[in-house]
Amino acid sequence: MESNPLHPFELHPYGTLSLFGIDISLNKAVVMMWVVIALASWLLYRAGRERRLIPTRLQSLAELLVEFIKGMILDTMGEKGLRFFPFIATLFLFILFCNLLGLIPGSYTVTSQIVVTAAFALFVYAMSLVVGFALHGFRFLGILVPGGTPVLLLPLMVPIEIVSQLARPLSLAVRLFANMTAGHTILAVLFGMALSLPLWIGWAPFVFTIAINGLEVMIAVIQAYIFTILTCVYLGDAINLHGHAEGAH
Amino acid sequence: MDAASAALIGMGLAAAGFAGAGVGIGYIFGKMIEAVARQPEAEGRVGKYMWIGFALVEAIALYGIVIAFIIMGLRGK
Amino acid sequence: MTDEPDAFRKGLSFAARIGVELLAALIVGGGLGYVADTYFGTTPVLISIGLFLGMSAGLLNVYRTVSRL
Repeated sequence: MESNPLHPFELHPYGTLSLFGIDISLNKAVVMMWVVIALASWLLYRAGRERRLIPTRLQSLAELLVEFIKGMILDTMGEKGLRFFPFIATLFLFILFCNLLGLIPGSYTVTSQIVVTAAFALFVYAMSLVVGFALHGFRFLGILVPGGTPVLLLPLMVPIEIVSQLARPLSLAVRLFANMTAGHTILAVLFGMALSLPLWIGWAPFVFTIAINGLEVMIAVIQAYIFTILTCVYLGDAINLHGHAEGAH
Repeated sequence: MDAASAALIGMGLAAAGFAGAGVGIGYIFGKMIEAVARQPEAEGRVGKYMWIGFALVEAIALYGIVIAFIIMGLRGK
Repeated sequence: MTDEPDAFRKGLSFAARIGVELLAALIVGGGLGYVADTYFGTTPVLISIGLFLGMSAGLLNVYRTVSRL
């Protein structure tokens, strides 16, 4: 029905606000981000308010989440990585809630904008650079040389390694953005087909949308997990140069 | 062939590149199932690497989608 | 029970401090880049460099704060 399959992703501002000449008008993505922040912080606050010895269901859910993220950090970054636990937990929860809340009809998927995912990826990559240089000084540039290459191959290896390092934030951003956009575009196209075809054949795309919706829930959770674990791997690379993570269980 | 139809054929060709990603994802999950069948205790350790590998393979397919979107965006000009 | 709200507020103030440090460093970096841009009249290249440097400085500050935990 829609001639442009990317129609659900357009953002229309609700009125205009501007700060020092920069346009900061509200639109659906901004309101959704506020909803995500409010929901996530309220749920975790309620879960952690009274710490009973035999936990309530919400509290055991929060404990499961904390154990899961802590295991992820210890596996990839070792003991030194635990100081990044609040950052990794915030990242994981924000992306998870953004992805999941986008599946509710009528809401907007914040992570389907390349600006949002590029901001996350740039931030994570800048953090890995800053932590690497703060911990190791200029020896951090030794990460560009994999262990044991002969000196003659260095002028060939270093540009390749630089390109592969620069591909990390790009792939991190594009992976999350394209997964979310592709999922919702498939749903929009299938619904359009189900509506424009007559009823005796229009039920087939509709049944397919039910299956794709279930797949989208799974992909939302998996993409949040993948973003977080790749963040842990990149930070772990910066913390332990070419070493193995200590304290892995 | 005018530019509009060439753009559409280009988008279709970019989407045809997903076949390689399908093969890659099938391969990695097949190897994971085989590894778990041989040694069920290895599931925790190998499972973590499986998800990282799946993400990296799927990213290539999604680069294809982005190229298709870029061609679609540049179509009117 | 009197210990618990105090610990919660301490944690909240720590988190708020980190967030404000990041945002302030980003704004200062961006502002300096913008001022330099209007002075030299170059393209938005200086704003982006200023933003990136501001973000890095903010992250460095946050890292030093967190390391002392």
